[in-house]
Amino acid sequence: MWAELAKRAFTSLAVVLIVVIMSFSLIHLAPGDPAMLMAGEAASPEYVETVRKQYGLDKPVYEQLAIYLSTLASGNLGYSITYGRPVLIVILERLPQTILLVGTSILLSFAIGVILGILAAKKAYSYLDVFINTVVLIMFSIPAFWLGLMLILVFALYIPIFPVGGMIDIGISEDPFAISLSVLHHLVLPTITLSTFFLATYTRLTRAGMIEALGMNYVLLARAKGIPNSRILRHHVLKNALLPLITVLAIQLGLMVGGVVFTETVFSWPGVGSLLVQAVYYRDYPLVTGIFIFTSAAVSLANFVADLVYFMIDPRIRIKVSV
Amino acid sequence: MMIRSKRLFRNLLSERYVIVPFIIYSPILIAAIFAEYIAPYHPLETGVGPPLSPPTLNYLMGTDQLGGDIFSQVVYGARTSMFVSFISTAMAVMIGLLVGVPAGYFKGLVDEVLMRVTDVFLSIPSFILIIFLVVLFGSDIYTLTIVIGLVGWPTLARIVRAQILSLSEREFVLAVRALGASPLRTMFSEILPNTILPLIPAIMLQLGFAVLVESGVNFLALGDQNVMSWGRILWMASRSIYAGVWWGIIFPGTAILITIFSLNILSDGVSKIINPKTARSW
Repeated sequence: MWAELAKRAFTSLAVVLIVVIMSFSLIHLAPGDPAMLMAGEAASPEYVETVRKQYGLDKPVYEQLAIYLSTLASGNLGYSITYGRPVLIVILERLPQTILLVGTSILLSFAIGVILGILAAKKAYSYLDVFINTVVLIMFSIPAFWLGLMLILVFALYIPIFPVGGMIDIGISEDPFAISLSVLHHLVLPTITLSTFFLATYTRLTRAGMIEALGMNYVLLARAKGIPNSRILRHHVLKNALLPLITVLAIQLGLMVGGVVFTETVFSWPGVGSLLVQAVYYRDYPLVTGIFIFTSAAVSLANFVADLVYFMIDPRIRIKVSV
Repeated sequence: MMIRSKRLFRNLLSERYVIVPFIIYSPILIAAIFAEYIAPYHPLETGVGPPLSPPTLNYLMGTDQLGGDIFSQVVYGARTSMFVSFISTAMAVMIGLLVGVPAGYFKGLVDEVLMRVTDVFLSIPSFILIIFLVVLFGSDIYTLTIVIGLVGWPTLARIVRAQILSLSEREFVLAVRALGASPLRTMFSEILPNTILPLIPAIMLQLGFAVLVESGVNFLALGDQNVMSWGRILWMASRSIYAGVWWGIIFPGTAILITIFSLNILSDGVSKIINPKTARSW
């Protein structure tokens, strides 16, 4: 088991290293002066020269790579001209808002998705099942940016019950309760937008897992022993059906990043996703590169954590791997 | 083989999961092919009508704030979307085969190395990588197409590899080998034709992904300024959303939704036909 975990940890680290080398190579392959691409378009000529010296861009390529890697290893992702602060700090300031949005969306889509999946599986191949499947497939196909615009149109402009965007009302009192309430109010539409795609995935996976588990011999045995259906469902079927969702949840985090960019942009939510779009508009190359490396590292860390959780809760893997 | 493919074709046609998407997708297909004959105006031309006019008989889907005809834009957007998604997916399939075939065929070290590389690419957030590449290399439509193709192959490579691994152990392949067929012949006439069909659902999903990314990049106003795109119409409309311009949002969005939705049904339908046992649980 430890050997397997070490292998996974090694893979995660390799991903980060390769992403870093990749962004280094891409910056050098791209048309234009690498020093400019590492300083940002708003940089003054003097600052570009400073960056050239700092990263040794007049030296041979392998030395440049060594300098780049050691700079990054010390936690220095570069300096953002537009924000006048180190890239890492700019990203970390935006991170809590993104975690709030992503966390709420995962919880919501997981809860509703599992319930819908169970409903569909219990009445498999009935009209209810077909209906749920169709709705879910439509949800699976809606682009986040369009759904966001539609929600704004309907629930913020025609029926103005939710704010158009932002995270908090301006000029609100210092009262923490009022602040949380305002944030929650702003959170509703972005969360629905981001949840939709994942809700669809969870529903489909739960349904597939349930139907597979229901056909297993241990369910037959449990039935033969006279255990009531609801208990079989809770203790035997659900446990096995929900297991794969953990892995998928982690894999989908990588996909979710795209959805986060759109959702945050549409609702002007002050997170890492809208930061990326702003950085692109300002041609703040160090910030764009920094966000690319940062999100890749975050996603591969999440994958590793998911593996850990899987190892902890599924005894079969623990035993199989250690034997 | 002939009889089998005929029967397969008939099966495909009798499956409602294949017919329904074709029917709902056909307007978009027709728009993409015959755009010149359908669209009344040039998609990039502004001032062909009053700004922000709701749908009327002259402007079927209304106009944007510059007085561009949204109907013409949606029609030409279909062509862009189809061009980008088809070419980029063809590229992704090609790379997927180039990586997956040797991995599955040679096994051992080659497999180990190629699959580690694939895993690394799988765990990079693809949309951020695409934006990063677009920022560095520019965003004209050909660059964007190549970028989407370069990012989309890992899943396809994994499926090809798995398929080839399992096929090379099957009796009919062993039989051909025993009859003295060369490895190349075995590969091209026995194994490869049998990997294509199981790849189709994944290809459909990749097409959908490409449609989404193409319109998404344009929605962020990072796309080619000389080409009309559904995403670009949505971007324009999002800037006049406070004026209640629903027509600029509903029509291009529905076009994207229909395209991705029919690709998803098709993907489901084909996997049901290929793999009736496991697909039943979906």
